Amino acid sequence: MTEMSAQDLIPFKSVGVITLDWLKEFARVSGDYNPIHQDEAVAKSMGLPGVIAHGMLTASLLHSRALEAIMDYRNLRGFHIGASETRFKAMTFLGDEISIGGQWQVTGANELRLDLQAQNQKGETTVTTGFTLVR
Amino acid sequence: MSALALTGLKSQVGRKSSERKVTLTGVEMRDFGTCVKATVGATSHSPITSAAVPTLFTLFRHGEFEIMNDLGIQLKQVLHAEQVYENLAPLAPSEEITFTTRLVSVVEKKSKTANMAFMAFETDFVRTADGVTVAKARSTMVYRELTA
Repeated sequence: MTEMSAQDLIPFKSVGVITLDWLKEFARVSGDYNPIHQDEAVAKSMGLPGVIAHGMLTASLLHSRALEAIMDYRNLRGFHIGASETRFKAMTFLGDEISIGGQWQVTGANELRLDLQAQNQKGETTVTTGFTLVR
Repeated sequence: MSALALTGLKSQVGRKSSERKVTLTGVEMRDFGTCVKATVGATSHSPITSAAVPTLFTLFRHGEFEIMNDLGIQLKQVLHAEQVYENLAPLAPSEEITFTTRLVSVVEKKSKTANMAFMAFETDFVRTADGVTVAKARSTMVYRELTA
C-alpha cells in the first residue's frame, strides 16, 4: 500500500446495520447483558425511545477500523495503538447504519494520532475515538 | 433503592471490587473479534495480542458490575459516557490476568428528566505470571434516576 501523510483522510464507509441478533451476540461475547440493549420494554421504562446498541460495540467497531487503517499503510506497520479515548455522544438504535471515517495527525517522530467518528445514516456523530499510535 | 443509591454515591469513592483472575481462550478472543468485525489478527486462530482488539478489555468489566450491584444500581439505570484504554503490553490467549476495579470519582448532574451521577471506574490489568501491567482502563458510567 501507500505511505501515510498527515493530510490523509480515512473515508467513511458502512460497517453494518444494528440488529437485535448483533446486540445479543455482542452481549454473549462481552458479558454485558444490560437489558436496555435487548428488551424494548425495559429500555422504554428507562426513558429511552427503544433498544439502544452497546456503546462498546460501536467503540469496538471504531477500534477495528483503526487497525484496518494502520494496515493500509506500509510505513505504519511498526505502530500499534498505545491508547484510545472514546466518547459516547449520541445513542445508536436498532436499524441504524453505522459508518466510520476520520483523519490522521502526525504528532511526533514516533507518535501519530488518528481521530475516528461513527455516524448514523442521518450523518449524526454518535461515537468518537481518538487513538494515539506509538512504536 | 434508587434514591438512596444516588444520595450515597459520593461517599463510596475509593471503593474497590474483589480481585479477579481471568484467562481468556483463543476462541473467546476470536469470537469477540468476529463480532466487532476485526479483520486484522483477531479473526484468525493465530496468537492474538491485546493490540489486535484493544477493546477486548471490555470483557473484564466484572469489577464495575460488582461495585454497581453492591451499591444497589441496576444495569438498566446506567449508560456509558466515556472509555479510555492504555495498552502497555501484549496479552496472548491462555495468559491469566489479575485485576481489581476502583470507583475513583462521582460527579452529580441534573437534567430535565433525570438526576445523574457520572461514576468513573479505573482498572489495572496485570499479567499474573510476571506482574506486568498489560493495560489500564477508565470507564465513565452515567447512573440515572428518572424524575419525569
